[in-house]
Amino acid sequence: MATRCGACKLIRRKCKDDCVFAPFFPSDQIDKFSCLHSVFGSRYVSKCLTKLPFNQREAEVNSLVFQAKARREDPVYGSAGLISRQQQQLLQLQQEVDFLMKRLQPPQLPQMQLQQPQLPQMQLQQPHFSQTQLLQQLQLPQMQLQQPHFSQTQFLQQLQLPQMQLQQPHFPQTQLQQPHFPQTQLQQPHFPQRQLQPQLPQMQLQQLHFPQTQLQQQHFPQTQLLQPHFPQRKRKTSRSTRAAKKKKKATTNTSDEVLSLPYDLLVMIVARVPILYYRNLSLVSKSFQSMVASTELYRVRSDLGLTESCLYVCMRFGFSSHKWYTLSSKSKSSSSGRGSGYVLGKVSIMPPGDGDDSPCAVGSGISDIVAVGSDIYNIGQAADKTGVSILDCKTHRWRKAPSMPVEVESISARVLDQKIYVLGRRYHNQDGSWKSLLQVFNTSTQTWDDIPWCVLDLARHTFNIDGNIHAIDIFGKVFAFNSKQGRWDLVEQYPRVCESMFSGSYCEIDNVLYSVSKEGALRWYDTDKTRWRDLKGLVGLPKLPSYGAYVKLTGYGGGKMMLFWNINFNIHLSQEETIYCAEIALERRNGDCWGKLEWYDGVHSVLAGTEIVKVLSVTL
Amino acid sequence: MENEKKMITLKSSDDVTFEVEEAVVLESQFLSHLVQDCPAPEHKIKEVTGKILSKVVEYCEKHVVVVVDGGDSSSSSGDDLKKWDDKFIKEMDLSTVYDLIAAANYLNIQALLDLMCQRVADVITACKDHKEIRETLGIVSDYTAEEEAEVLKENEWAFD
Repeated sequence: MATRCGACKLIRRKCKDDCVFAPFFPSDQIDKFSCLHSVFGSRYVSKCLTKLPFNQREAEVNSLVFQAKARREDPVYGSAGLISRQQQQLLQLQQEVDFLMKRLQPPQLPQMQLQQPQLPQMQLQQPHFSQTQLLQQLQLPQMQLQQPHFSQTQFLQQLQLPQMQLQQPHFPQTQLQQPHFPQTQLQQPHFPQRQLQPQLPQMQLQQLHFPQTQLQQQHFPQTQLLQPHFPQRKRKTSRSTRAAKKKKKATTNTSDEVLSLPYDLLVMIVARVPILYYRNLSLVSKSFQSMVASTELYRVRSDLGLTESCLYVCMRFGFSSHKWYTLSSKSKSSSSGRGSGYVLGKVSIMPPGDGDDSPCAVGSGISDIVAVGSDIYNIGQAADKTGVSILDCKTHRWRKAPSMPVEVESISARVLDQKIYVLGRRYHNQDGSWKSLLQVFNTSTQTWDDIPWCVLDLARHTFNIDGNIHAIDIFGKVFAFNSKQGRWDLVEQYPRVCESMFSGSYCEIDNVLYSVSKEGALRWYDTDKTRWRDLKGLVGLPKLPSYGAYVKLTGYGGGKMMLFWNINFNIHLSQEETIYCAEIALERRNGDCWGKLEWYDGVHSVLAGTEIVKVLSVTL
Repeated sequence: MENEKKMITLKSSDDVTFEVEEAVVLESQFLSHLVQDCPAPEHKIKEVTGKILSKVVEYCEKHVVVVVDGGDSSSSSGDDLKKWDDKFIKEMDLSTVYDLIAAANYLNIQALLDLMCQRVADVITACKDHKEIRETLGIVSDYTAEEEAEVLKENEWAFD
């Protein structure tokens, strides 16, 4: 009795001679096992161990303990959260290193030189950034540079290094510092360049080296266009004598310019052009560019009953930088009739007016994004963590919406009947635990409903099924929101629904829940047979990335699904990767769900490491 | 149709006259008010030329006939009308379309306006790229060369 191992002590049982736990859990290390016990359960652990040969068991124990600790620290994402954060960080750093190498490596400079001498010098220029900090951050990429083909185990080893991250599961400090990091990195290239070309003033250099900042500046010229006095513009455009002559007799039969028509008639014409072509139209002239961003155009469209679905894609690179894209028709001239004819065009977000209402970060649990009508709501992370911003897809301008009444984290939002149901986690001091809390935003009144916030133990995802909001908790239990009584009811009728749910990788179309499994298969949840079933009849769709979360999907128009994915799970040193898009028409037949691939194609290329945060169908 | 068909004369800006039934005139909101308010035998429409007015009259006459006759077999006559509309717009060059849009707007003939606007929209949709839109619609770009390069760079993505 006195020699019971730590495990048996904890679960209060007899410790036999052949106890599987005994070798790894000495009687003085009860903590180690209590953590495993609470997360996995002792039976599971013993099962895991007995399956393995003895020499592998210690590794298994260590791995389980690591996972269990991570799970305790971050109940929602556990070690996966750690890994994905580290992976993000790694990819980002790698990207920056690659970018820098490219910059630093004008053909005449050999690589060796660059790796060492610049760093300390650069620090001199930036005294506010401590050397240790920098070195810490540079550790990873340097290792990588030296070993470009580094193996998974090495990677995992690296993952375990920053233990400090474990202590702060929700917002690791290293991550917070990250947003500053790219800039410092980016400034690096000045130094060698300046040496090379001392005659160039620094300002110029900045522009040369920061293509990204440049891109942001490119949005600004459009502000000038915002006064849509079209006729005046027209006069400017048709400065040629031919056009001037036409102008005098605007409505005579000699005019061959569409601009001879009054602005409101032009709007009536453009309103009839499908939105897919607006990208081309905006390239025609400034006046058209401002027209396709005018509220008047969309008013006319809705008056004429010409609203259509339009796809918006939010992509994120690093932690603070995100960009919006919309699916457009490709200029046919550029691709000689090849391919689908679709392309993701960048959305030029209008610069903010008085206050910047745009979100400072998107996705990855810190905020969630949903579309209601022509608006995209980013919930969480505007001015503060409770902030809500609305992107008006007509004008491509962010505006502020009322903040959430209660600050929450790990937000998952769903739309039902013009209301946004926001589920987020909050630490309850009273009972010292994390709880999930539901808050409801009414988009028609633009107010947060005054319902008592419904608390659920700890939920991961929300989804709609059978016209009701549901949530899955970390144990896979499903709860339905009872809006009449304002509480969550445990429901049994959807077992195993959690098997195939990754953030943003599921969607509801016509009351059916679709998702991408972790094997990369498209599935739908059959509420009659209460299980996930593969979509039938999908011919020609390439293999999707085998981790479902890298595929994002949304309903689109009537009974269609749009998928977006990029293949970026493997860490490799390629500079760019392709975003693929597929359109699938759905049909229910004889209790089965059939999907027909309409087309699929590469629609954009992005820097490697870019994450597709969310794909949304907006009505315009 | 018991009462004698009332004829109304329309005169274009270049003094071409058209004699049409009152029912035809009623297709146009503007003209129907005009006819009601001042019962003169002849109405001068200063804003529309003879060429365009003839098209307007042609369109209205066709639509009046079909609408009046089409009580019994509405679906087939609807198809016929659509076919006729298609033919009507196909024979027309774009400058006529623009003038018809302006005229239909002035005379307030919603169906004609819709038809013509759709025509231009279809032309735009059929264009390969922004350059072709410019060419087809006779638009001179007001982008400076640099601005255009910038906007293009932002928007263009060639998949190879």
